[in-house]
Amino acid sequence: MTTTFRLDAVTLQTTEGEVRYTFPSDLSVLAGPTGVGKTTLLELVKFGYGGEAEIAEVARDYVVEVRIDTTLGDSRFRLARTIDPSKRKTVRVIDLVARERLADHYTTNAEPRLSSLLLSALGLPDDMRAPSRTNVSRNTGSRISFIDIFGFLYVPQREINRDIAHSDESVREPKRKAVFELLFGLTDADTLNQRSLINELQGKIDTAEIEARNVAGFLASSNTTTQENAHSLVQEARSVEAKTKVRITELRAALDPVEDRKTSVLRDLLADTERTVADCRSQVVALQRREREYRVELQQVQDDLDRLSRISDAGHRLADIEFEVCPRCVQSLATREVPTGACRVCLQPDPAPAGTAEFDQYESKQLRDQFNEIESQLHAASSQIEETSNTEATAVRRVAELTALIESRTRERITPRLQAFADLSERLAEARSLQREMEGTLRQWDRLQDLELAARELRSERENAKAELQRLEEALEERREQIFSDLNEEYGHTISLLGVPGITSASIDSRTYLPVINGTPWRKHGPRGGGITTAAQTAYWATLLAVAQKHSWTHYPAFLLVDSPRQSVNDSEALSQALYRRLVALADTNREFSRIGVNRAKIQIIIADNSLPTAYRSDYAQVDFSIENPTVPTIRHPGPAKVKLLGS
Amino acid sequence: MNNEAAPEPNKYARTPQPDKYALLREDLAYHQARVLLLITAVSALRGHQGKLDGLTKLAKLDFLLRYPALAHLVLDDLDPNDRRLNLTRRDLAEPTSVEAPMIRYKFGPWDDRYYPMIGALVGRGLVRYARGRRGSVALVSTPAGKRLTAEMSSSNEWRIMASRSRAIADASAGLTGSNLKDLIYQRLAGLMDRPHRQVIR
Repeated sequence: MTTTFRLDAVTLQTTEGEVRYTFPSDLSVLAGPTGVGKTTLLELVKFGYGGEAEIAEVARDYVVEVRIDTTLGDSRFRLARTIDPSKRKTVRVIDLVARERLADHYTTNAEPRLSSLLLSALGLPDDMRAPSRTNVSRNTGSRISFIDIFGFLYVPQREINRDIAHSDESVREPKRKAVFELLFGLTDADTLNQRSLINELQGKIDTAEIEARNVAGFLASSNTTTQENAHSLVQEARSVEAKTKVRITELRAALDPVEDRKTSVLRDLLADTERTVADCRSQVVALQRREREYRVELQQVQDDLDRLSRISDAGHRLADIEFEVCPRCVQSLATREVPTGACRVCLQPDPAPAGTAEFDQYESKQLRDQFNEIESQLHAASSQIEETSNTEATAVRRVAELTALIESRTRERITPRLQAFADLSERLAEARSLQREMEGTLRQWDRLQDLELAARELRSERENAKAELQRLEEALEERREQIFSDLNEEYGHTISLLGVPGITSASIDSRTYLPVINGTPWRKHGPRGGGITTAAQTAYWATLLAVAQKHSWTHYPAFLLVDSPRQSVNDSEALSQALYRRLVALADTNREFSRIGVNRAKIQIIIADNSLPTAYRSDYAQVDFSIENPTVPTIRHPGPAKVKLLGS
Repeated sequence: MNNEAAPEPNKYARTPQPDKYALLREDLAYHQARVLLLITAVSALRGHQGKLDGLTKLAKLDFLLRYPALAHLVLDDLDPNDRRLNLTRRDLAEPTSVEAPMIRYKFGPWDDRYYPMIGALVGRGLVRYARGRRGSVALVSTPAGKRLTAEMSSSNEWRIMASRSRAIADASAGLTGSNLKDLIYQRLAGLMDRPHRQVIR
């Protein structure tokens, strides 16, 4: 079913008031000389539908808002979009059927998207993508928007004698073709999704293969152990670890009671003996100190005895030496008469010698007794030192014996086990280390396998997708053949009707969906810019509309907006008349369908043009514009000389 | 003394008190014996001009004899290891711990008993006075003094003292009493820097 697409009205909210154009007729012509603003109006229409349009200076300066009243399928909307660059992402939407204001929609990817709303109204899914069909493409393709569809409905002035729906731009090629197929039912969402999936899978396959190659290259260049070997080593290391753990547990159990009772008793004995040694040492030191003190004391007593002895000796020696002279006056005493037993100097009786001896003996005895006592104490101390030193020496020997004995027992019982324990611990550590190392290696191999597996799975998935795509395409093939048969017939017929000079044969390429003129593809056909190009293109759009109208299962919107075809056919009256004749015929088909009761979307064609063939005036609605009455009449026209034409 | 005859009554006689002065007498005898050894040793040397010149010199040399472990600090020519000094480690460790300490007087170490000592030695004919320098009194051993000194030097009691006397006499040859006093003050400042009349220990 060709889908209804009508532009019911365009309203320009200008700074000087409102301008409104309605298009109730199936064929409307906006007529007027160059510079009155026809292209400006058509670009504003595109802008109103949410597209990126060329905004003329007059519109930028004076138009505040563009409102589009449109019928899409069964829906009718009023779309209001302001010219203000900061606000133009937002479009106010009124549902004219329900008479209600909908949420504001966005011309960007923000939700809700205006594109989604309009595509939905046309009965098209809004999540379709147009993937490239080359084998090298890894892209899921860009999303098909409403404006991509609009590219098939609006033939701007700048393109009419050049390309078809941006066919010159290879980057837009996938999308142009996808839209063509979509509109003619040659593809559907499933097929497009399948293509996207294939491309996406191819991208993933490439990534996985590259990664797998890198990992494999690394493993090869780093001389990594083979997977089998690594696996075997890990198993072996695990086994060693398990066995070693058991052995360590056994050894630990055996080590615990090794400090037996006998060793414990020996250690106690050793401790006691060491204490004895320490005590003896301390006692010997104290005794030696006391011995030294006795010796000093003894020496002092001996000195005293010596002094006493000297005193006594001196007394004895001098006692018998009589004074020969007086010690006072130094006169001789030799002649002096001295009584017996008297002092020769003082003549007093000599003292009894016995007394002195007695005194001497007493003091000497005291000192000697003291000396003897100290000497006996010294002797006792010396004996004690000797005795204690002997005890100490015995204890030292005992300590050595006990230490050797304990060491021997310990060495015999513990050391070998400790060595075994150390050996086992080392083996355990080695086993664990090897496991870690090999597990790391295995992870690398696993990674490689995962990547290879992923690539295989992706390839398998891609093959499935390709098969599914082929199935889908095969299902559409019959329809495709039908469409292209009709397109070629209709296009050839139209070209023939138009009587385009120099064109002997014309068809539509089933791969590029573009015209083939005289056996030459559209892209290579030249020269461009002439009336022949415009005529061939207009015939192309008319053909598409006609064929779409013929088949009820197409989604082609029955709408065509053409900017100035007559101007581009270089005012060739015959060609121009033929062109209009064909377009009128298209519009007339609607009436015929209505007459025979076939429900078809009514075609709407809006043409902007300089001047019109007079023969067809009665068949279409015409709005005439002039310098005095431009398309934006609220704004005074500055004069033809000051107009900067869009696209020029 | 003659003990053979029985004592006759004496008009001067008093009740004898044999113990009263015995120690004092023997102590004085001890000092006389030592000083005799010193005078004999000094007066035997040419370096002292054959005499001990002056009581100052006597007192200073007697100080060195009584404190033999300090002698080498005062007399440069004396080695503490000189065998004649016969010094023990204890002597060197405690040089002021001696058997006959002296007293610090205004002009150095002195002993109040020098006058009775000299008087007794001269009275007994063991020492005689001689002319000293600048009119002072010098002392010289008499032949009896020398004989007694010789006897004492061979006895156990006095052998070391006599030996030390000779060592000190040797090392002090050429030094006057004043020289010795100055050296003692200079070398033993710590000992001399103490209150007068204090025992030097």
